Amino acid sequence: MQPHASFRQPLLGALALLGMGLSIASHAAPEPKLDFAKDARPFLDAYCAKCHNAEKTKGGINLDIFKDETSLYRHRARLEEVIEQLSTTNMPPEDAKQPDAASRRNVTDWLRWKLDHFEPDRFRNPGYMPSHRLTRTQYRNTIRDLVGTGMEVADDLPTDEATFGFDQIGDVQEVSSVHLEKYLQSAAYVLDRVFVPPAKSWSFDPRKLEYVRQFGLSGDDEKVDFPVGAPEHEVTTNAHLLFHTGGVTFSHEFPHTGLYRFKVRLWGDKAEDAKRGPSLKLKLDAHRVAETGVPTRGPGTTEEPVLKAVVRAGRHDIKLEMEGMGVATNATDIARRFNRVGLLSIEVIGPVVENEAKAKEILDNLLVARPGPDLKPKDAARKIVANFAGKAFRRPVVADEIERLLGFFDRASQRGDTFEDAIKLTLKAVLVSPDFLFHIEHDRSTREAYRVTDFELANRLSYFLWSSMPDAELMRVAANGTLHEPTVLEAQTRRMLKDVKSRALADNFAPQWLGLGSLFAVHRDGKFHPNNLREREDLREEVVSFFDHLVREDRPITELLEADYAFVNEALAKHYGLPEVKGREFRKVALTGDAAKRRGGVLGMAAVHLAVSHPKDTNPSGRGKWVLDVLLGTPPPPPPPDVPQLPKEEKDGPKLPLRARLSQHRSDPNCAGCHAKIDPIGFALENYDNVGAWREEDAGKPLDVSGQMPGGRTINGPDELRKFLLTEKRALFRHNLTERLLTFALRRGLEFYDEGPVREIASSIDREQDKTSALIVGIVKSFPFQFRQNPQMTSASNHE
Amino acid sequence: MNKPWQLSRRTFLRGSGAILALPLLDVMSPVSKAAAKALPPTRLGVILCPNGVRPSTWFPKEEGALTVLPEALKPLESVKKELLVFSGLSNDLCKEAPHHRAIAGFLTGASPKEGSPYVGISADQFAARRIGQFTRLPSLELGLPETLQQQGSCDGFSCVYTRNIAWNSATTPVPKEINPRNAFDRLFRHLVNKAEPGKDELSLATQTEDDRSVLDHVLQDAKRLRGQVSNADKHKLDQYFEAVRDVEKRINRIIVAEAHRGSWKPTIPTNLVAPQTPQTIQEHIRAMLDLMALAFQTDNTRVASMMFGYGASWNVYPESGLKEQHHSISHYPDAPGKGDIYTALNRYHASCFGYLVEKMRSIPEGDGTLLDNSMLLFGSELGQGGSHIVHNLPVLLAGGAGGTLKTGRHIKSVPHTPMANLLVEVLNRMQVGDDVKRFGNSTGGINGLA
Repeated sequence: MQPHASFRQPLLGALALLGMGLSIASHAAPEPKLDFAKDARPFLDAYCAKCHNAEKTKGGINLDIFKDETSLYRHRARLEEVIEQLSTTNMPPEDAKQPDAASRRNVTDWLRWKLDHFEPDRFRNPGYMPSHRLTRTQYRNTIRDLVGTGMEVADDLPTDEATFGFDQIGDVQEVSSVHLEKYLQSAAYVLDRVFVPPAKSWSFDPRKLEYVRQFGLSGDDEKVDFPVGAPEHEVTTNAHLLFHTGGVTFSHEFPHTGLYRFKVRLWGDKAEDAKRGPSLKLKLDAHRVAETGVPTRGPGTTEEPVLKAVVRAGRHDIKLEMEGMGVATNATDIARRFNRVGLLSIEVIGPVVENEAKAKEILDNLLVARPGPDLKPKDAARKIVANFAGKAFRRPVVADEIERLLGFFDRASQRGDTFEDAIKLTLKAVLVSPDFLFHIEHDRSTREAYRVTDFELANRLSYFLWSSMPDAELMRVAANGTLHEPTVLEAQTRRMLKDVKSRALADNFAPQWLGLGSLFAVHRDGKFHPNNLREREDLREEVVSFFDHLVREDRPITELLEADYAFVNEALAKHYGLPEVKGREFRKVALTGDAAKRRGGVLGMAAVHLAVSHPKDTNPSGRGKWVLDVLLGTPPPPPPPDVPQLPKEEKDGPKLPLRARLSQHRSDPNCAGCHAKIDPIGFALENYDNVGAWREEDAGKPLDVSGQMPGGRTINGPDELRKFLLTEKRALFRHNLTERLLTFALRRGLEFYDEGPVREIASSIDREQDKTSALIVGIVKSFPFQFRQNPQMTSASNHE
Repeated sequence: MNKPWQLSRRTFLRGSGAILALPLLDVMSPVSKAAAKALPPTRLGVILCPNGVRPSTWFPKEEGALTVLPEALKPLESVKKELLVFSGLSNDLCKEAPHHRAIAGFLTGASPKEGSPYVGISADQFAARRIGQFTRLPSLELGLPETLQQQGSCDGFSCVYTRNIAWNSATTPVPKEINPRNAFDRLFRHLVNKAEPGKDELSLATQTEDDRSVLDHVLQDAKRLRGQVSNADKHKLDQYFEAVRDVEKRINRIIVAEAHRGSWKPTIPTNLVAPQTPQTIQEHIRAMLDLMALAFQTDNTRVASMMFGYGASWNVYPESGLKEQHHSISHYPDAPGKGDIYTALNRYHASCFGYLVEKMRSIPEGDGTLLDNSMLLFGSELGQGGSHIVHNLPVLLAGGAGGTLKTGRHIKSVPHTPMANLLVEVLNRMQVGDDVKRFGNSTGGINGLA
């Protein structure tokens, strides 16, 4: 079987043209006089359908999907293949019935013409977003805005499936009992964090606690052979001394979920000439949750470090462990031979609040009414529930709903629960209700497109820009019924973009669009060792800060391709060879000289290079594919099976630079078809090693970063690549970014009928000097964002 | 030790008037028969290691008794007698675009469709639907973090096909837990939080009752919403509905499970400690396999699965001594010298599987071991990584399935025998009710396993 690659060569070109919104000037012939039902379909039936139908899908191809003109666009990728196969006479195969040359040409010309002359106005359809649940990110942000605390519980929810590159595509998410269990637990957790009962305290005598050694290495300690006969720990008259990396452990029943303080009275002592003193770790159920350094003023002194951790109600194993042995083998006095920690007493206090004022604000936000001489408990409850449910359900609530919810309040009150406990139970029901957990849009029974309600529009807007619930002002405008008015809609959009919550756009959209998910997965090899979480978080943060800057300062979207500034912190500045900056926070730095040619824009960001490279090598083909797919929206077709391994360095010969090893991509015609378009881009990026650092050599030889693009133009290095993209591919980039952000906003995959709105948005961006706000406002004002249309059900299982 | 679930039934049935419908127990069902004889139930664990194997070093040369193990399976030497190695099995429905579809076809014996996800129910979920009601969790799905990132769609197919082997309906994959701590909590939180006698029994009962009434309430909300949305929309709300019902059942399952076990009781270790955050992938694998064994041992579930990575996984396994990523290694040819790295990785994965087999063999149960009462299916969705073929899949079973498997052999099937035929044999050993005659694209069973 021929490699799949040769089917698809024209695909890149065709899609590019479709994307640019230009019609083909050269074939400006009028439409060939053919008709789908009378000519095209019978042609397919006569020459193709025998092997390519719904039952018999030779090569995986089923041509029954082409039922009418609309289906030509809906399945345009497949149609491209059909045209290619027919026009190159690859199909029908030699031993099958062949059409005569004239009809073959007529049909393929007509199909080609139809594809090239796509008229969006004939296919206006705003699409349909089915009801679906909040994603983990949306849940976290919504709890943050609704309640104000406890949103970290979202980390325990199952991860969401990503499709079309994003995890908020509604169609694919499922709801399972795993989710429901977690929602029940999360609701309880969140409410426990709001209603904080008076703190209790418990004392523990370290001398009576069990000692547990920690085996093996701990953190940065050098491996040390512990001298035989030397103590690991010792219980004296007033302290439990720790010498080795181990600690005391006890189990405790925590009555209430919340923040707890662990006050440890102790003294510390450093071994003679030891480099570092000891530190103390707090472990909750074998997980490190807090730690502190221990000042080493010697025995007889007292330190009182306080470690804090959020603990869930229930019984847990607590361990206070020493770290940092620090052995001085030459010390004569055995007491000075090791770092020591003398534990004097342990007190556990909680639940406590970090910030009294904030905790009160959170509680008052919830308890908008309290029972008193003028207000009966149930009436207070009614006000509280009406307020909370209204916000949680993100739409007006009716009296009936509130009364039903108050059933919980009654139930709890009748069995003797306190007012607060009764309220907690009632609000728990709100947080597990589908009205909270789902994005719901109501259907109207009509076949025409219809506008979503202002409340639904408010939700679409806030989950697009904030990945969270609408705020009070947005709900107010929706309640007025004016949100859909163009000037109001735009004003609200701009207001929301200015709000700090719009950082969610950068945080949620950008990493998913750029495909950075693998940043946090397992191992990589390389000089800059992002083997720890912190460094990889930094890499991600660069991307988010940059994108957020574009949004907030309304920069041109083209700065994603090339910018004269970058966002770095201390570690990243060092990694990029930029002038030193201090501190972990990210800040904007201007790029000058060489740096301006090397960094700036996504192609200079380490996160991108790390995500696409191999553990040991860069990956020019992968990077080329990434540019074509992620930046331009024109992915190359997949490789055929049986792709052999690259030739490795021979055992005796010199190690070859990667580029030389990829030479087969050029010499083998089976490979060259696609790789001629992919590899040159990757070669231009070879200056970035597999962790994004700048290099000028590979395997001891100077890098050759030139590549010849299809059409003859040569590009040398990333700077020329950026300029090439900016000048030759700007429209394509604009179109692609619009598609991606629109997918994100609509929370569904795009269909052929979205092409019209995409082109309109791209045009409006073009008219506004490519400003980011034009993209965002363009999406908000678009047809699919404000309207919806019920799907026409054609089959029981999947809708078309 | 106090068992909080041994409260009176009345405590659970009291409440807002909702009548609890307990499943009618067929006294003559296989499960009841087994329970009557105090036999431990059969467990099914599936471990999927993606990207195929190097065939020449994985499959035994001879049929029949396993004597000399091939290079890649040598780590299983000590458990050789417990194994059944298969060859000739195929996943032919996934012949086209296998790297996007074969994973979804592995346990379903179905052909994943283009567009919106649609494949079929997987064998493990088929079993879970029938016997899952007798355990706290109907099934357990585990996984590892994945290095590979997919952009957009996977060549017209939903990328969800490469990420899940467990499907509890044609359209719904079952989410995997990749955090060992979370998996542990799901399984054992109720045991680790030991309730004090007396006072806390009551509060646990109250909390459970409250949860049930919350679930009743939201079920009403879901019904109302369902009435207001179109047919297309009902799907998600239906899932919600099912999920709520499922959790409700689970709360009551504890009583049912106790009743059903009859005189057989699982052993509950007294020193359950939550797993630490894994620092390496090997630690991660072992933590998950430990949990699987523990879940089986304590009869918290009888159906479990684990994936080492997605289809075309890019994970790296430094403890194998290899630094390249999995997918890249799987493209080395099956040639002397050049293919050795692929063999080395296959060996490593086999040793990971061996870890689980040894573990379960070391847990006594009934008259034998936990392994004797289990079936552990270890395999890959591709016959060979580089060529993406889906015939001659590397699959092996470990465990005696309660004495219904005669192990220690290589079973050669006629080439292109559907993998689903093996699934039929597996399901018929899970006490799922009537004999399973067909599953997915099966054409029968596999002879000579017993």
